[in-house]
Amino acid sequence: MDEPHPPGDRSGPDRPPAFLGPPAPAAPAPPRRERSLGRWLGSPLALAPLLLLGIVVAVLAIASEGQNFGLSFWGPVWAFNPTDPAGSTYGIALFALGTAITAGAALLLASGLSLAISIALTVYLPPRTSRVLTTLTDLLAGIPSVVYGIWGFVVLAPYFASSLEPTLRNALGWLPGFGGPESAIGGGSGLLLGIFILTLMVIPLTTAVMRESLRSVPRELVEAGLALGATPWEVVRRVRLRVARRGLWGAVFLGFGRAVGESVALAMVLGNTVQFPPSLYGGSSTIASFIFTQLDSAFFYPELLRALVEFALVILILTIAFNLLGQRAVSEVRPRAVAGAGGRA
Amino acid sequence: MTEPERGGPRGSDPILSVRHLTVRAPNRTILDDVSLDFEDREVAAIIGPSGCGKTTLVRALNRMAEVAPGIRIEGSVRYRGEEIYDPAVNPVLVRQRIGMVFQRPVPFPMSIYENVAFGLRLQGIDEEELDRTVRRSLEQAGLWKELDGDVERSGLTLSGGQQQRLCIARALAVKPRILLMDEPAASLDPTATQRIEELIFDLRKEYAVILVTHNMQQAARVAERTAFFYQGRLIEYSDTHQLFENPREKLTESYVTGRFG
Ligand SMILES: Nc1ncnc2c1ncn2[C@@H]1O[C@H](COP(=O)(O)OP(=O)(O)OP(=O)(O)O)[C@@H](O)[C@H]1O
Ligand SMILES: [Mg+2]
Repeated sequence: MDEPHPPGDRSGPDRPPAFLGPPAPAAPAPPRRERSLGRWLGSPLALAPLLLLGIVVAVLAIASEGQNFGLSFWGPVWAFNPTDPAGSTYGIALFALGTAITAGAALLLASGLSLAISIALTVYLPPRTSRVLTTLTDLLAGIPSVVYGIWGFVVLAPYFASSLEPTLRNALGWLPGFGGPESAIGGGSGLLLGIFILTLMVIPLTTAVMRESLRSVPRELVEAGLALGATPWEVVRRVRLRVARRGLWGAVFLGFGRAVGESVALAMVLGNTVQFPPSLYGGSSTIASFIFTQLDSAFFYPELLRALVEFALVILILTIAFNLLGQRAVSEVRPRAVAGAGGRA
Repeated sequence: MTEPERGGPRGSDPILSVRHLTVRAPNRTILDDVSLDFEDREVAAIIGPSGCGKTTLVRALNRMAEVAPGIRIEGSVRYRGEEIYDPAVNPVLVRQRIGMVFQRPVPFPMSIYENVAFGLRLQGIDEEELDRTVRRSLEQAGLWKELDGDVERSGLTLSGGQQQRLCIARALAVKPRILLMDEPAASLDPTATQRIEELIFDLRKEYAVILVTHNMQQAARVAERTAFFYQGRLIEYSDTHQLFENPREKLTESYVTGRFG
């Protein structure tokens, strides 16, 4: 789902102007969106990603055999009966809730942290430190999910069970989600650990996108703010965040798309229970992690397999929707932000 | 910094006095031992070939030069007798007294109103005062009439010349005493340039204006005094007419007669 530009086309109107030298005499700009979209759709290359997407959807749809589970598919009841797979109820709602809680909370935390990190990287830290930290956060993005999962399961879960969760329950028990029955704490696997791991996993992505959005804020606007008597922090709040706003939202959407699809790591730390979570310490399953944990048994029950394939379709659509939203926001931030900015004043 | 009296009798003390100002980048000296005075309620032009340090000079006058990494500044700049490079002086206050307009119009991507209100909001001015000052500043910059009261549209929808006048209004709203203008008309067409020049001419009644320009006719039209810079040095600083018609230095003469640069 990349910006619609045929490869090799560096003359597109969306291309940010070079920051060197005076701008070339402006050619009368043709209506931007129409032209690039028209050209893009006209080229055979444009069809490749669409085709691929079409194939994936088609295969999934065929695999699910269009089995209609009816309204109960969207319901909260998951009652799989091996002796009567056709008469079982395959409801997605509980898992959707698990996805919403883990991805939602993880994105809330990751967005805040990423924003702080990227402000520090682009504004406050000296260039060398900033480069080192940038490389480090980018490296984190390359760690495979199983590694996060096993680390969460082996190292963090016991700690969560023995100290963090009891402490939180005592201190914040009055907050919804932080109280609940003591039995929910169990072995440490559960929503809280899932959220923690998922937060770590999306931070590299959200940080990278936020950092680049903040970096694309033209220096001239920053200096204009300073020249009006703003402190560096006031310039962050009133100029940088404002100008980069769309890209920052893009980071949140892209992160959400990423979090919704995460399966392996969550399957390892969520406890994989099918229940309405009694508290943040309780076990849960997300749509993606549930597909992953059920694959074995699904092999023997075609109806179960079809239900899981339809789960996958739901994730696919969610992911595409969030990625599209994110891409749009991120791609629009640049041309807008650099409009009216150029060489060093 | 103490806020000076407005509208008092015109004193003979310079409003800004620069002594032995030297500005260095990591591998070179950009400005070399520059000393000159600027008077209140006058327009002073800074001219000289590209790269001679004009922008660096004006940026050093309101402590914007230090914003670029690796820049080192020596010497003294006194605003009404007060050293702006004193470590105890807050650069934010210096920049409020000594406003700046950049070469390219750079409105914030916000409404016209918010652009002008930007500096005022930082100072926590109340809404009523805000409305009044925004309007007055737009009037001063000659934009108010053209806008027909529509200050809610984005500053980016204005023409280039209007955007630059918006930037001037934005700088005036903070109520500076000195306005630094770095080639404010360089990216504008002749009509828009003329409007800016008329504006500068009016501004002198209330402000000291320091105008960097490439355009010698412009300097001759609007400035009382003109300083000619060459390779980071101040070559000559005198009454504009004298500098153009009867320069003391050979270098100045060859520059103003167009024999180089
Ligand atoms: N931050 C910096 N780091 C290194 N060199 C710099 C920096 N700022 C300016 N210079 C150099 O100092 C010299 C003077 O620059 P300055 O922008 O002040 O010139 P200018 O007279 O304004 O030129 P122009 O008429 O082209 O605007 C130039 O050669 C420039 O490359
Ligand atoms: Mg310059």
